[in-house]
Amino acid sequence: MRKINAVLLKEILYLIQKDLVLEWRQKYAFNGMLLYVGSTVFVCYLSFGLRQFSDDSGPIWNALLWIILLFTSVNAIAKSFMQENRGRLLYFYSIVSPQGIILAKIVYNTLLMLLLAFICFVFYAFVLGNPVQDIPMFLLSLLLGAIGFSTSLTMISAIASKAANSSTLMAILSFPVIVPMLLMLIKMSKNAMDGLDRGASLDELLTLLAINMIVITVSYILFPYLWRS
Amino acid sequence: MKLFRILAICCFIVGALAGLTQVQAQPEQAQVEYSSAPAESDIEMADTLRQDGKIWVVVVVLLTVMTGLIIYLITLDRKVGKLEKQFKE
Amino acid sequence: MMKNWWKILTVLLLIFTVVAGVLSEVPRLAILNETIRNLYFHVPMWFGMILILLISVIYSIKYLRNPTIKNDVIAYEAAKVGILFGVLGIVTGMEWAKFTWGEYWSNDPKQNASAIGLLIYFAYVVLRSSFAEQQQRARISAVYNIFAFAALIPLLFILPRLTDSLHPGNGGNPGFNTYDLDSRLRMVFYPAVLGWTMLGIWIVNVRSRFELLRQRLYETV
Repeated sequence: MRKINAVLLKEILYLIQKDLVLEWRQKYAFNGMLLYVGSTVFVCYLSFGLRQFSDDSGPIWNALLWIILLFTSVNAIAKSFMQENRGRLLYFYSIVSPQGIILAKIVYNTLLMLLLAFICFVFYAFVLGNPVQDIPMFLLSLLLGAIGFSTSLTMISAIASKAANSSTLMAILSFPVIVPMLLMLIKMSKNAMDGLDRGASLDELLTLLAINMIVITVSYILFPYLWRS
Repeated sequence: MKLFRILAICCFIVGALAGLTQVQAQPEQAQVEYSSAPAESDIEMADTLRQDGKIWVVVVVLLTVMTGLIIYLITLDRKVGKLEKQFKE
Repeated sequence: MMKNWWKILTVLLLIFTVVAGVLSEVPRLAILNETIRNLYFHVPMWFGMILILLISVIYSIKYLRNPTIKNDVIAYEAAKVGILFGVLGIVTGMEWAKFTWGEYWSNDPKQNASAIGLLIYFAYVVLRSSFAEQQQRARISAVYNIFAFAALIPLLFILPRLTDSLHPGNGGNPGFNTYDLDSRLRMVFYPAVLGWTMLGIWIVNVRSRFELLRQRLYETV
């Protein structure tokens, strides 16, 4: 048993390494995502003109950031299964276990999303001003958001990549699934923005962790069935 | 591998429980006041649906359910009819 | 005849629900007035939806364990009937809300959650229609069905309790709590839930039998 787990761990590490190397070689994809984030933030800045913050524009600031992050993550993660060509998939099919693949993809996407979310937040705060009072808590909600988005979207992109018009399907399938998570995140980050007592966001934090746990276990159990086809 | 799966299921249950218990842990924080409606009951609206203790709302709801089910039945009926036609050919 | 006892039971339960639901004594409440009787016709739609979607998920799991056409067909038909119940629940809820809360849509967490739940299952139907090959369609939609249901649970059972809601019972039970559901209401409410859910199961039963026959016919032709 321990031996199998060790093999799984090795597979995961190997696959993450492979994804990182691939990303490093094709830097245009990552640069494209960076530019996507940057231009979206700038468009938001221009169209809202929110440079000066009054007290009541906090919710808009917060919701806008999460919407940008949502679209960024859908775009970034959608390609995680579609970019793989057929030959490479067949090769993986013969050498590694499906659990290894899904876990590796989840970890890799989480890393990618963490980086993107952090850059997005810094740039957004720089351009649109930063009303956040409790920054560590806000960063924690960003962290949870990145993990949550990447776990559920990885599975959805695996499902969507099997279908014909996968990019539309990706949006249709993912938005309803992500909404509960998004609502929790917006509430939690709003609490952090207003500098409320940290105990106030404990409910949201636990619920988010629970949702993440559910999503990861469900994708772990279900992915082998998807992989076979 | 089996152990791993069991572990995963345990994780799932623990996660779900954590979500539930912390929800139940917080007491009925917001007892929403139902009776706190503005005292505008004297204002009679020219609205048949509000008369007779609003019983007509119940009638509308029942009618909606009925129409929904009947429309569904009709589509099923049509499908069966189509199949019968194909069967004859 | 003996096989169909549950259909007779369904009809009896529904007749009881409608008659007792309209004629029985109900508590006199301020804004609700007589519309409290909608408890027998609106709320069971949600219970029916959840239970029928649960059936759908169970058959999806069964499909993944044992891929037969029958499991797939039942899962799909149950999802569709679940959508029907959900739409009826939303429409009746909006009618009820208009005359008690004043708006068709008052941004209530439960209203929003149910709308999102319906979106998930519409996406399920769209996903199914985007595959041409039967086996692949069945397997992948089964995977999505299970995944979506797992994501729906926190939405339906956890979120409404965390936020203020116009619906009763947002601190305790999801549908009701003891203080506005007294024993007179319960007497009719439980048979109503059972009756409407069994009606839904009946529809699923008829539809999947029909669908299986159709597929068998196509195979032989």
